[in-house]
Amino acid sequence: MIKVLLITISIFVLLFLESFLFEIFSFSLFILFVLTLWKRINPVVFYILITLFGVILDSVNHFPLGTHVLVVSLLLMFLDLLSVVIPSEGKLQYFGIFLSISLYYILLLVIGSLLRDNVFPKIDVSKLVNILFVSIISTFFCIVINRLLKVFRYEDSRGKLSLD
Amino acid sequence: MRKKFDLKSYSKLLFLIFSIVLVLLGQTALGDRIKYPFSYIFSPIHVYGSNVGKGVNNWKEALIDASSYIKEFNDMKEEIARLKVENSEKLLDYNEYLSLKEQSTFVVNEGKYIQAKIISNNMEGSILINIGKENGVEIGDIVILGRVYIGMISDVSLYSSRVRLPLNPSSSFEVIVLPNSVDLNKENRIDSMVKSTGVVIGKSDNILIENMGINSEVKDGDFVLIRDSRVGDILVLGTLLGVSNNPASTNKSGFVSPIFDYGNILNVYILKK
Repeated sequence: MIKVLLITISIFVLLFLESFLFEIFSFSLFILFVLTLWKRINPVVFYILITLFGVILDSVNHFPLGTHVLVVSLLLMFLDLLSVVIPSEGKLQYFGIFLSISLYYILLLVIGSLLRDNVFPKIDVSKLVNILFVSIISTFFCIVINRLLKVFRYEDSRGKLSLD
Repeated sequence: MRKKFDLKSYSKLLFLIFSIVLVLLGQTALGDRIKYPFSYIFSPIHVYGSNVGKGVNNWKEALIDASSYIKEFNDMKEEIARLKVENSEKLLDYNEYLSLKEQSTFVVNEGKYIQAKIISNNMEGSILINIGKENGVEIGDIVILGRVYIGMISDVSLYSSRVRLPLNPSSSFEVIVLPNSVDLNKENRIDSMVKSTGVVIGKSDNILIENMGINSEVKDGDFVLIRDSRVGDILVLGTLLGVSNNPASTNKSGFVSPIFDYGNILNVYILKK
């Protein structure tokens, strides 16, 4: 029960932050949320959360239903393909994350426009530069989150060892 | 030995299939019904978050442009001093009176207006406004400012709506071109003054106008007015720019410079008939 309550409150907070940050920097928290939770929680819970948050974003941003979910599912496939070329461990993994985040923004722009208006959007240099810039910032946040999670895990395991 | 079917290894593929089904579902009438409760619950948070973000963004832009503001402030001080010397206060009052008089005659008299604030304009050729179904907004409603056409409602939720601007690539209208000497506030019969008809198409960055008569005497600066059955009223779109001059062509084309910079508008009006 407490978990459901926590998830509900988290969704409200995340949505507020998503709208807030998107308005200021065109920065999406949703993709960070996806990449942070991917392979870290139960896949079924992950898919339910992504679908829920994706549908919420579609509703409030006036995207056709399923746009965000479709983009994420394509991104997960891309991540799988990428793991063949780029190792999913070590420092090189962040290059893969950077590519995935860039692809998320491009796919959202393209699929959103195709489903909504049946037209292919115009992607000019300024848009690409903006996407690259936001992707670099997002990758940086991913690195910070990964490091923090590692520190917490280390602290946790150290405590267990001392008990033994 | 037969391999056991592992659901986890196919989870991504299943999720992709599910997402495609969801998208297809979204294209039917059921899509709006699914979105409705989410929109009802989460739209206020989104609008609040966007407004707070906009406030911070204004401060951010103000800080970035601080040096230009200082220069502008100094220029204005000089300007004020000069105006005081010239005793132009009366002239300013008179100009204000004239512009107010002009604005009052600009408004389309028929129908009811609903005022709306722009939440965000970062989407591809469209803007979000802060009113929706609750205020009676419907898809196809026209959004105007004075007599100027701003866009058409293309998607409505309970508390917000999406306005498709003329810049949007899926936006196209029939238009007429009038000489720039015409006073749109005085002239009621504009048919005799039409230089040419044409079609405008959004191109993300600008508005393209095509199919103007090759023998028509259209020139840069002429007024472009929308006369389309979907819009109803004749509304101003902008002024003509960069008219092509190719004698081999069967028609003339050019660009339309909108009256307003869509990124700088704060309030708009929805015309309900």
